[in-house]
Amino acid sequence: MTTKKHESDTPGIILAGIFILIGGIFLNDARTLLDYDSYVFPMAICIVMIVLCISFIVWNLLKPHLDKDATAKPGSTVRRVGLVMLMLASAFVMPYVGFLPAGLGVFAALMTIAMFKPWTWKLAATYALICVAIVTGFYVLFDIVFLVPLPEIPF
Amino acid sequence: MKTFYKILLTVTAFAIVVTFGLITTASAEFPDKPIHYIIPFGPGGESDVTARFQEPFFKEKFGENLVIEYKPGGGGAVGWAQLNTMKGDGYTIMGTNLPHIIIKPLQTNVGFTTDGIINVYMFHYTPDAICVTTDSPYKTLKDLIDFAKKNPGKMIFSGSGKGSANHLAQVIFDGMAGIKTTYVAFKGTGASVTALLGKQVTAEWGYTTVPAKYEGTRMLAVAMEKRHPVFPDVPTFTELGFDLVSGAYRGIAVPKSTPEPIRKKLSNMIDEINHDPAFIKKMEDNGFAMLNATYGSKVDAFMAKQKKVITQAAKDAGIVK
Amino acid sequence: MHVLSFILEAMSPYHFSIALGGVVAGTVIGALPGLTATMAIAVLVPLTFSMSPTAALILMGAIYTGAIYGGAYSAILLNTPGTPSAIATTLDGYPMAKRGDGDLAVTLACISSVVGGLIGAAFLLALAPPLAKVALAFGPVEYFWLAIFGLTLISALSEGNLLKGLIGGCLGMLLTTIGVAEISSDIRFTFGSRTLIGGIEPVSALIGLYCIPVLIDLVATPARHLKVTSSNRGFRLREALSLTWRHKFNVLRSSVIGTIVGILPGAGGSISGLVAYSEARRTSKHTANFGNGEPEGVQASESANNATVGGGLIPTLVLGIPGTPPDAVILGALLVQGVRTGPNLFVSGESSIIYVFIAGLFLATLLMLPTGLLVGRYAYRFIITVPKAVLVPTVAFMTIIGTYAIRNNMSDVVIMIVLGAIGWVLDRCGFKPSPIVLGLILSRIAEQGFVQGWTIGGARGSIIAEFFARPISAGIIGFICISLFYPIIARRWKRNKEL
Repeated sequence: MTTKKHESDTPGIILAGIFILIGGIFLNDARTLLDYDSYVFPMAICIVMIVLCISFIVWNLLKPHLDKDATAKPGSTVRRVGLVMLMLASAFVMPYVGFLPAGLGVFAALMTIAMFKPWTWKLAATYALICVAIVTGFYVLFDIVFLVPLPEIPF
Repeated sequence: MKTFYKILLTVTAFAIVVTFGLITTASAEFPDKPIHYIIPFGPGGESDVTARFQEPFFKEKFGENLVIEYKPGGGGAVGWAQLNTMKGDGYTIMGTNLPHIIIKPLQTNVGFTTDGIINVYMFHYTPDAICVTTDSPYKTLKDLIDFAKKNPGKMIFSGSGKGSANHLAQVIFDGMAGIKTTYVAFKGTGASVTALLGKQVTAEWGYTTVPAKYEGTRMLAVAMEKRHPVFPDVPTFTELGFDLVSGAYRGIAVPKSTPEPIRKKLSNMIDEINHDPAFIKKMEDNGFAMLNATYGSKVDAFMAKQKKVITQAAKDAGIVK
Repeated sequence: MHVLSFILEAMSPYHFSIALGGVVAGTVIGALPGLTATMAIAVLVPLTFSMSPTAALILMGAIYTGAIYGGAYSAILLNTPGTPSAIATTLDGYPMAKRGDGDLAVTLACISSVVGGLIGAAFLLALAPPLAKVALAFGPVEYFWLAIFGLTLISALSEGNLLKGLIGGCLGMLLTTIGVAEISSDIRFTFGSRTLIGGIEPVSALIGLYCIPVLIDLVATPARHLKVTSSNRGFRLREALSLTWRHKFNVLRSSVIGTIVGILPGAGGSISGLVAYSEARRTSKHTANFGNGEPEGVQASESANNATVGGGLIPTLVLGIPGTPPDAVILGALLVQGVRTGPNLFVSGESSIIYVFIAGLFLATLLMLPTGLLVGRYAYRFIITVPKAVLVPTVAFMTIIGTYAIRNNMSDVVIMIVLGAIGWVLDRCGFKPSPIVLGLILSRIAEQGFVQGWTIGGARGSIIAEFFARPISAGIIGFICISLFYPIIARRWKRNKEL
């Protein structure tokens, strides 16, 4: 005989706790504002959010249940983290190194992360060409056509 | 799939050729390439419109394009905070606004200081004015003051933002006339006029550009030294006994690292546009008022005076401590 | 006859090619996340100086129309609204694409956009001056209730998980308060950071919350991005047309909603899409299917947001007050050309410009059908067939550069990526992105309306009367109540009937 223990929505509870903290931080910061017009709305939102989070936590503790929508997604965590880190790196590096170098770099790196087939020389060559084409294509589009001031290579 | 890659190859080749063809070295008479004119607001506002007015004159007189870019955020703060990090070769200029650049640094750490902004020219202003609808019961300024005296707080003005020229004018005038009115801030002159037209408010603290642009509005008084050429029937506050000459002033600034001769050159270029009769007509027809504060002693004196006046008014309004 | 001469002038080879070029360019621009219609029009303004005002207007209108439609592509195929107007399209468009109906969704979007655009333009043509008066009757309080109505959609989007959805909505609203306050110009919640003074830019936040999680999951497995059905079903035009006819009432109603929301300055295409979606969902027979790939959702959103193009031009041209951000740019360009806006524009005389322009708008909208179908076909094929190792970098790169281009600010890119990563984590824990986005989009309007209404009500003597006693507000509040309580009442009524 096994008594089925109800699993609780732990990630949800933790996040709700974090949100309560965030609400508190914002509420605290709102006290420095002088103008009533400035703080009335954010304070109201913070209070509502904190109340909702508390209700959520209490409800989940009383009636533990899993969230159907909170699916565990299969797949490589390394690649996922790599994607985010690479994109962030390119954003930080671009103003210093210039658009084209950073762009080519991040594009090539992302290609490697998203590639699931084994690399061959032919594959690498074609993909390198695609990388250059698309990056330069976007460069021309944004710099010439839209006149967006892209970060320049510092000479 | 093969065609896919063939197309990409051609695109690559083309793109590489184009890109390298564009890396040119330039060293000739200033200006020899387009000048980037950064507006620290979104498109469609007064800063944008007046820049657009300048654009064709610039091209005609100096042969190069004025490329207008937008860098909105923080009510202008984002743009001004980044100004001095930009290249100071004269090819980057930015629009500036008073009272914003004076008031914002006083409120909190916005990333720039008033004195850190190098203005090379102040080229126009929009004088403050009290606007009402054409069918409003208030025909003269006196009507409005009488109503406000009898009903403190019930006179509702719309205006563009808090700590703006509109707001400061309302505070100063309330003090001068001994009345108490309510100010409701809206996001931009457009929204403020919409509220007026929709009768959500009784009147608007706006600019002389309002009746020029929006049907169904008229002004009770303008905050200028002399009457506006396009609105000769509207008295000035001074004529009616109130010493109020103010508005939102706009100019052009350059990064701090811009060398002195280039600053002077830019100042002269804008000055030339500012004296072009066609430009003046276009500005005045749209309700703007001209200002010619050139780089050097004129701009410095202007800024010093405005700093004093605006800081005091902001303190009175309770916007800054 | 006057009318004929306007139509003929709009169809001159010069104007025709401008309209065609504008629609194609606009569609492509709208499809790229980060590039908005506003940006596209702003870049072209200098070009228009050398054109006649009519040609300039036709060009800008064509680009605007195309861009609003183009946003549907990335919404459907990448779960990223190409422009904010396409937010509601992602809700059912992406699920449709995931199950292999992406081509149908794209074609539906095209047809709905055309119908919506035509209806919006028709209102502009026939009823602009009186409708502009309606726009003026909407004061701050009405906007506030309208925002609240939009927020009730959160309850619809978070079936079974209402608390999490509401918390997400609050989070979104809180994020918007960072930076310069709309009303008081106070700088809030920057915690000393200079970067945050500019606040969180909504379009970059949209891209972050919708697109980055998709990329994160794309990169994790070798599985295909969208399901590919083996048969090449072409445009699925006949299927789409029959669906449109079957749901004609939905399309018509959404177009009217889109026009009316467009009339309200500052509301914009995103809100019209959301309101139309909300209404379509409430009144549909397949309510439960919404959010899982219900074609009606795509139809509602796309017809509404293209109707907003015509609707937004009404206050722009009649009052000189821009209805949506692209309208502000168009207005600026008109001002430079010396065109005076106002009701006089619609009275005959010097104003043939307006009527030729509206004819041009009709033309551009109609041209969207062939161009949209063609471009859509290639976009769909591209996304389906291109290998992941090309798709992921391209989309990632596009989001980086597109986000940068919004305000020429690299920190927007960083914020987008960070929000995206956080959004992925939240999604895994059951906090969906849509409620957060709703909060982001609607918060400003809600706050402005609230604070302004409060101030005016206080000055007039009764805040309660200000918020509840105004006729239009009362109407909107009624809609809110219906929206919230109708499902409960309907369920109870059904249960009683079964007993």
